[in-house]
Amino acid sequence: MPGCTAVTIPSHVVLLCNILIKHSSILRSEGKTIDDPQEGQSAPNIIQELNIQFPSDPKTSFSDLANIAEKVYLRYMTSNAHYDALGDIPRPADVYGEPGSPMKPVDKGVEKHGWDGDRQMANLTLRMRDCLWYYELCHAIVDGDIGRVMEVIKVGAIISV
Amino acid sequence: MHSLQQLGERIKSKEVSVIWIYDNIQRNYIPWDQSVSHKSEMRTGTAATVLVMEDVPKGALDPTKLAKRLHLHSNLCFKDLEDEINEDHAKHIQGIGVATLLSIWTKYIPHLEHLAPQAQQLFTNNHKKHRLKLRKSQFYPLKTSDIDESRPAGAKDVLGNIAGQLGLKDEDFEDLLIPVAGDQLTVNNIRKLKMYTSTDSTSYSKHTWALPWIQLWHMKWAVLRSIFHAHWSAVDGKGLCGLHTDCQTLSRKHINPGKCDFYSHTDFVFDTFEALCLGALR
Repeated sequence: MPGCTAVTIPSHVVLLCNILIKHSSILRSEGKTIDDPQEGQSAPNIIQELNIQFPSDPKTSFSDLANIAEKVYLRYMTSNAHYDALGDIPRPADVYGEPGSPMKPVDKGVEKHGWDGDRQMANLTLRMRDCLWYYELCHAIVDGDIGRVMEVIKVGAIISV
Repeated sequence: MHSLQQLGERIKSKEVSVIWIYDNIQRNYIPWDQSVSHKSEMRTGTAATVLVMEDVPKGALDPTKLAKRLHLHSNLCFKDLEDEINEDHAKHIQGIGVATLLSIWTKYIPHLEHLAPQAQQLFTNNHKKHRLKLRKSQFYPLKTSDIDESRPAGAKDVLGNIAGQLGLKDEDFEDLLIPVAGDQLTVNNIRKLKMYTSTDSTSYSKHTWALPWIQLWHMKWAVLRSIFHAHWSAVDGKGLCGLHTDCQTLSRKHINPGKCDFYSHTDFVFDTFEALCLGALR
């Protein structure tokens, strides 16, 4: 594929992405399906797929990508997204789009009867939020921006965003 | 005059503001001929450094102001901290989240590479808060000592040792406020020390001048441990998501959430987080 060979992608990132694509509750909760690789074939490479999704001609504009990033942040990296996945707050369509089918626990009796949340999604959202704050903490220190460090400490101390 | 003594004079006259940093050092001592009275042992001591702070606003390290603020917030509760987070903070964190996603996507997807400089500019322009100037740090390594700083009494001896090396006398601490940085144990020990000596007579012996301060690296490590504590499933790695599952997927061998080595575990968290961000774009 043109362009793919220009950048060296770490093999562990490609491997993990492929596996996450296959198993990610993010995708399943939104009703997307992934084609399982046939026997003897490797899983699709997410970098290649994303390269097709964002072609080089015409080039993707920064504002378009920023709009997608904002949606992804609101869907998967906030406390509200976590509570939403648990079914505790209303699900605004402008942020989340059309509702998909939530993951259901295989073992009956794990969750309360009548509970309509997505535990996998909720846990994954919390993890992405916590990892984002850690990622920002480390990078803000490297950038020498102590103000950004303090912002993360402030919100991290009470976990309310 | 010795440079440390000169530094002590400058601290006394408030010409400079400094941080005292110390941590324990351990060396395994193994004698050639071991006997009952002469056997292998782990020897513990302390290494300290004095770091000169830059751009300190006048009056920022005033012990009287600190005492007033502490008294004002003596009934600090969770609600107060929550109220401190306003719309601006939430917007900043959202902006940082968006910028982080953009930087990861433009880093890995070849067709989005041309947007990488704009993504980086979000950190350096739009969401910058207080960037420090690039400069060479002024630091003064002190003599090592054989004090065990793992207890409050040891912390007291270390502080006394540092003051002695800088030539500071008890009365010099009347209106000084010195951040004392270290790991979480150091912070805990100094807090305890201040509590135990709060009824003493002088500022020096009460340690009101010592401001315990966790170092950023140790803070990062604490956050990293909390991530593993919260997101590592102890049962097995067979779930759909979670750090344990990803660790088995990647066959990472040096991941031990109980020990949580900083560098290998940070790499692991970063790798999985970046992969999740790429997965979310699809």
